[in-house]
Amino acid sequence: MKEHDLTLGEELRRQGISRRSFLKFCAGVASSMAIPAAMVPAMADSLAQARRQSVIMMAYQECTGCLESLTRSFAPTLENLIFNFVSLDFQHTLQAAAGDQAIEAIQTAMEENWGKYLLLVDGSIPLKDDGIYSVSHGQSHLDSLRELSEGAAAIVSIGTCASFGGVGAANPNPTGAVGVDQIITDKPILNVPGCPPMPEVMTGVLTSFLAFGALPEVDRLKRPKAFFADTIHDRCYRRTFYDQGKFAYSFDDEGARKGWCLYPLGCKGPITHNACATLKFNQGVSWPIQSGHGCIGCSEPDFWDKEGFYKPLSAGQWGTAEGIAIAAAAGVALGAASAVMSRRNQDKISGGK
Amino acid sequence: MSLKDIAVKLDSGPVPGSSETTGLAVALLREVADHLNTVSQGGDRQVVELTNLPLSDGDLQLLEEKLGRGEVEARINAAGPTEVFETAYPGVWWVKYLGEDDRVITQQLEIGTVPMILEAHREDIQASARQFPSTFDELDPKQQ
Repeated sequence: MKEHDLTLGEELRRQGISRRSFLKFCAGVASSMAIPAAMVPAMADSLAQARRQSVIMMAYQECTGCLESLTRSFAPTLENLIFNFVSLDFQHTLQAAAGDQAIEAIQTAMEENWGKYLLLVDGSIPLKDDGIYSVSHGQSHLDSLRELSEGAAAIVSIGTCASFGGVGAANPNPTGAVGVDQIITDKPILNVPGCPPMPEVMTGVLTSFLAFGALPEVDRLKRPKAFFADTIHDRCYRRTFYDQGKFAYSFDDEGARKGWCLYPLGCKGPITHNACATLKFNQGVSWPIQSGHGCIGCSEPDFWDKEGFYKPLSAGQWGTAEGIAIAAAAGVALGAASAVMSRRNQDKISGGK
Repeated sequence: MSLKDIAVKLDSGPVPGSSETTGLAVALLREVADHLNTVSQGGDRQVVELTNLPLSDGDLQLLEEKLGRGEVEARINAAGPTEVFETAYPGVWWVKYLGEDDRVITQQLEIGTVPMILEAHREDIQASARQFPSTFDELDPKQQ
């Protein structure tokens, strides 16, 4: 029997991995996605019934920081399981093959899984001069993306560059770089922005796709709501100081030493949607605000070009509409609203159970 | 001059998790009481997820103190370690899913007869039923 014919449950059992591992994996994922814990057994069952998913991961105009982040997950023993659930058929940094051999690997994966493979894209795509500024194996990344998208079941844009253009598209955008969804419009696309994105989000997205047969619900910027519904500010452990009006005004004043709110130092937490405050980076060690630096808003479009990371929201371009309104709103009201939003989000995932 | 020579003064700024309690622990205890009633009347297993709640270390301590320790303790090795103990209240279990370094990845209170991670699953039992005869087949003189 071919590998792809076995269910994940059967395949892992052959490797001596029991159902308990599925259960534990799903408990971890459910916790990070705010899926009710009572749904974990059903999720584990469904995942065990799924078939191994073919994944083609393309690196376009990028710095490899996203891959660095994705391969440094919060719980290696658990997260490594994901490599049993997917068949990573092409990833040019991780694979041994190179040159013609590597291109053959893409062709084979495409032919064998036409219409079914998941396309992961990392990096922006230059449009200017027919995309000549970013080329691999004689093919522009623009052509490559168009070709690969055709047979994909869905596309996941990893990182801010693939999602919104990112640093490649920063002013003056010499290569005419854009994100995937500005080129491909006829496929389900999900954005996992962040510079870098959080590995847990990727695991959550892949697991949802396998267990529930669809990409998770997304917001207006195509980001999975399970991770991007709340702002950094909503979940920040320094939030209480914002509510009390206790701020740091320079990086070495009393407020900074006492760990007060970094809003006046340019923190973009109030308008940045991401899960850093709860999931943290580097295996849960810390995250920017815990290290004493404001959020730079890296999971939002055009964050490079918003007048500087150290200007308070109320002073910069960020503060146009949403920013000032949210930053000025009473903390308590915002807290309550975000709780309702999270709850609604949770209901959608669980079908209201 | 090395990094160590640069004096860094940190006041008692907040760290995620402090010894103060937030009131959340008491709310959780009430929730557990409700779940216990449900389960005691034959209802399904109930699970309370602790990881995503903004519980302070003080809250967790209070929870552990109030729930206490019961008769059962277990350590499971599947995708890394998992620790389970029954609290002083039969049917209320504390389940800690751990990473390689014993760091808690996610933890839950489970209210039911036995935590799901402890149970042997039907598919695994079916696989052992298929494999088990090989343990004595090779010892059977008729087969040799």
